[in-house]
Amino acid sequence: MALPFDRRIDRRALLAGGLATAAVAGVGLTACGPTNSGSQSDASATGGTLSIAMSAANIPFPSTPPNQGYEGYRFVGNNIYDALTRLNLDQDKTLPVPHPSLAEKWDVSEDLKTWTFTLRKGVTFHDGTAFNADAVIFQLDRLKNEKFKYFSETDAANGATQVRYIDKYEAVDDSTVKITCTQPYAWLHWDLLHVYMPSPAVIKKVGNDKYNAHATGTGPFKMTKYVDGETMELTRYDKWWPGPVKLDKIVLYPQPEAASRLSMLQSGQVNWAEVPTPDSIDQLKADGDQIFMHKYPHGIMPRFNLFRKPFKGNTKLRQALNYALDRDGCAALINNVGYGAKQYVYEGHPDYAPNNPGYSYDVAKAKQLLSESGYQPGELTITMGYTTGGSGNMFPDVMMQKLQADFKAIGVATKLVPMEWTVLISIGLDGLNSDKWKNLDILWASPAAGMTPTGYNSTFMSKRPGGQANATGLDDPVIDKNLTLAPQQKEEKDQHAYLQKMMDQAVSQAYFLFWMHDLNLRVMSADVKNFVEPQSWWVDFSKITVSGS
Amino acid sequence: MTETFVPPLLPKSFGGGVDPVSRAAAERRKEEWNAAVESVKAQSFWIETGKRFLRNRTGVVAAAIVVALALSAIFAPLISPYDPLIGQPVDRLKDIGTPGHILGTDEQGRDMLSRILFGGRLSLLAGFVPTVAAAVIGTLIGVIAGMVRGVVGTVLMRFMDMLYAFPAILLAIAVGSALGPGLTNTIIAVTIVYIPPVARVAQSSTRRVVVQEFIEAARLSGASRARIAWSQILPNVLNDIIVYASGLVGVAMIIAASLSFLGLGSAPPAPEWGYMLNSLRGELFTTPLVTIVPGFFIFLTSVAFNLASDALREAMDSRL
Amino acid sequence: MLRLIIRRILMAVPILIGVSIIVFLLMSVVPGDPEAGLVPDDATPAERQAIRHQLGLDQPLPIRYFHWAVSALHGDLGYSTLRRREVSDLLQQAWGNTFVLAAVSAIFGIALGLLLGYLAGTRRGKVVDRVVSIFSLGGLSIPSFFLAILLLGVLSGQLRLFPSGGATFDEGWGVAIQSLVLPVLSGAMITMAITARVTRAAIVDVFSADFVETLRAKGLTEFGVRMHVLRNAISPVLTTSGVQIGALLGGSVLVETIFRWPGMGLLLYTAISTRDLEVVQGTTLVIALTFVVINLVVDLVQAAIDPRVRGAVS
Repeated sequence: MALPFDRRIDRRALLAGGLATAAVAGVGLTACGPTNSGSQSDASATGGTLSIAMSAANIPFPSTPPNQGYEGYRFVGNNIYDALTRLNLDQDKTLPVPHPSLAEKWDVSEDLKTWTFTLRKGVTFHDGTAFNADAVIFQLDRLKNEKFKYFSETDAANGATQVRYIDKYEAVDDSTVKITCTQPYAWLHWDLLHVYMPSPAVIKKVGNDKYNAHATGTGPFKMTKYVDGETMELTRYDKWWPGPVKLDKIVLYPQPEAASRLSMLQSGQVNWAEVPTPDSIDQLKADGDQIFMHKYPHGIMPRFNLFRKPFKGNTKLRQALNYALDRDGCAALINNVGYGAKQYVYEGHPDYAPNNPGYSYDVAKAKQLLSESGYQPGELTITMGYTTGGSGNMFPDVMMQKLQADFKAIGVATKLVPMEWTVLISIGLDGLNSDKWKNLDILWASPAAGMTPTGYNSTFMSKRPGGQANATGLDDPVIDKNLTLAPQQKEEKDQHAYLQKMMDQAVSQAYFLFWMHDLNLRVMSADVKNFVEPQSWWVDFSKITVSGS
Repeated sequence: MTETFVPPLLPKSFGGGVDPVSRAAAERRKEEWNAAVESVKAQSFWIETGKRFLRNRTGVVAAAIVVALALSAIFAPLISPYDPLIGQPVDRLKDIGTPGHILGTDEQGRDMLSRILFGGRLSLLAGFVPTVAAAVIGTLIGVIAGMVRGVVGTVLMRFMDMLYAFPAILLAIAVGSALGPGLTNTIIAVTIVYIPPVARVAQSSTRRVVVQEFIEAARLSGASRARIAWSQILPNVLNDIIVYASGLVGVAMIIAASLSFLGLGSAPPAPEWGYMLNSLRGELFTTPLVTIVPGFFIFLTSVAFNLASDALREAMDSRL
Repeated sequence: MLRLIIRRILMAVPILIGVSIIVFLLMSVVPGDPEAGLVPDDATPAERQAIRHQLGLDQPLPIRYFHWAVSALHGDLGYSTLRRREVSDLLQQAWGNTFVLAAVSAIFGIALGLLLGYLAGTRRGKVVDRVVSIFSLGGLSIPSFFLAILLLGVLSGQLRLFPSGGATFDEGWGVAIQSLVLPVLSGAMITMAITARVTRAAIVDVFSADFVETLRAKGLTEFGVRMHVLRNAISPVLTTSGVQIGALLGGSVLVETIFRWPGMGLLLYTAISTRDLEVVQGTTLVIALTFVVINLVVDLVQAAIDPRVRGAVS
């Protein structure tokens, strides 16, 4: 039903035609023709306005760090702010890794404990104040130093992971910062991707509580409008240090409902929609829209409860269930916007264990392993908790019903326990050994599997930071050893070698249900140009243009 | 009064006398007579209502549809062509009229007809139970609050206001976390949501009836409050309640669907109609006909309930 | 009359206290913790404890309630750490949005429902009656989210007649009205249907009453008779309208989600699902207050219209 004219109908133009006329005229809307607002005519000259329907339920708040998970980093954080490092998101060939950003370069001491960052000179915040070593120290103090006047309890809590291995930090001179880690740690530049640099002048002026309304960074876009719950407008910052981006503006809308995002795109209100309904792909293609799908570090990898029977110490049972999964069938149910997983990370990821085939769909083998594991068909009922919502969870309802049918086919009954996203996160914090959750046998998990090497820790290590047991009771000395040694290697190649060994062990022991990888479905109207879909949750906006009519 | 009371045929005289004993006896006989008349009136009212209902053709057809839906749900295992829980991914989203799948297949490739039949078991419960429960409880509260003025009535109605303001979603989550996922949560939550409006309608029409002359007459003739409530007020109030509540059956199914939209309510793969409608919402523009099937059955049930209740209401209204 | 109003408003106090206590208790027993949205997945017990302390969650329940209640009495509904905004600020935004939507939906739904119900009631058993009956039952049988997605997909997505959502008030009246159309159509359906049904029933009821014949016998014009009928039929209609307006002012999370219309329903739902206690409390309080006021207004109007009820309003 695509109409052969510019999709971006200006609402005023519509109105000028009059509601009644529009309603009567129906398709005669073409009469409204191209749009007339000022920004439109500018659009052809420069980069245009990119309007995005996000899948988050709200506009992520622009704090440091933002909320709404990686969607907040993707659309808000990375656009308003720079960090010391930034991923090379402008390509889709390899997994993006940290590159210099506000830090021009860095040196790491031989023991991998001391990092010395040389800061870029001449960078200014959106409010005109200069970025320098003091600004870096200011932000680290906000996150680490409880006695600091501008210490932010909430930002510190939210961003604790990213400064966990930082012990001491000091400004050597105006453009040099030295950070000492608590232990040999080769991944600090990965952590620092997430540590955005806000303008100290603004925070001193408005305070932490009111900061979100005045978010100011050094990034490619300035926040020019922010209505919580409704919209955010980001306007190009002409003095961005690598040179200005092409786009004039990005407008963000939150819309958790896929069908609504689709309508937003079709009506021309946005030209970029995250995860539309999978079955709409054919129609969208026919309409001339651009469909993007690409492998990236995101999968559904449910975790077994390893604190107790039946899964504790029963590798064969865990393997049986992995063999029972009809992954291609599951992919078909979601119109192939995801694909079956062989391992925790996708094939082609640097941490993918090269010589481990993973688990195929093999009902006979699954049945055999089930009986070898000590259970006959019909004897076992497992309880699985999963979330019904939250962006970045693929399609839980459809997938869980398929899983239930798959397990039933080998004689294992599954009780599905749908739960809210908040509850699922709470379980991750409490652990499956807590009284409240110990009835669960398997727990849904949708990790950003392998986006950063630092992300494995809380899922794979036997002990979580602070000494608590792993949330699902995973406790494997081989995994612990390899994951401990990896960040102590100077060379990336060696780091990956250890991580591959870790993966190999996790797959062989079937500590997870290696189930589905996501393909990051998104759709854009034809006028969006130069978008590259990287192997990442984040994207690069700097080269995108939106052609005018 | 131990012996069975047989109302005398001709009440011209209750007897009498000059001595206090016989006068008291006459007085007692008079009271007994009045009570008996009331009781006959009340009984014959319900019998007459039944007779009148059967004369209403639309009402009978509607009631038949309700019964048919109920029977097909009860005998679903016998008449369903397929397992409602198992589907083939290759068969997904087949349109209505596909050979072998007369109502098409859903997003998992499961036969829609079988799911509708089995789903009827859950959906009829989800629609009917909260409505009836709330109608009974709400009417009781409303009639009491309407008849008894003063503290009791006020407290009851303010308590209803409180319940009203209560977030149904929070209720559904709380009940769900206590009982585990399933339709029971929906039923309990919807019942609680329904009670205050029913009570308010009941209270309002009670108040309207209470001030009318015939109630005053009944009261003067010495009828007890309970009797007045049963024989005079209830028939009048029920008129309003039935209109109001019959519309709620469909709405209850809709609320079940809405709760699934929010990830509450029925747990998959239960083929409850509201849940089915919700999980097919993404396919509205791919296979519109299949998507509408569960909606149609909700509609059919709702219409049948309403027409049947309209007929019942008219049958109850002796003035018609 | 004034004493009555004051009394009823005073009666709201125990209602609000009751609601807030039950909400408080329920929020504390449902699983899932507010800090889940505030700490990373590898948070240490100490980090978790620190944020719980900051939120006051480490205090005993009665003390927490007491603190909240005292602040609320002083007009301070607290601060939402999850949203990083004042609760009163959030409520103001949401209530404004919901009010506009509810007002338009109520006017549209009740007016159309009255009209349809009147037509059906006065032409009982005729074609109009049947059509209205099926139409209003249809209105009751379509989930608002389904209707919303349908309207959005066809009228906005395919035909592009209306914007695909957003509560837009800063681009002039025209745009505001346009963006209201679809949410109102989806949200007012139930109101319309219920009003139509109740109106029809009430009119049928009154028409069959003895006094109508008396009026006709007295030689009153048919118009005059109808006016009498309407006046007598208005009571149940008023009651249900009050119920409907109250429900509309509570907001609908479904319609608000689908049309990006961030009102009370969405605010409450988001707050409940993130366990944002202060916001849940504030929102329920406002909704409860709304109900109390609306019920009071309905009772007063009823008393004004129907003198017989006047004595019974208490």
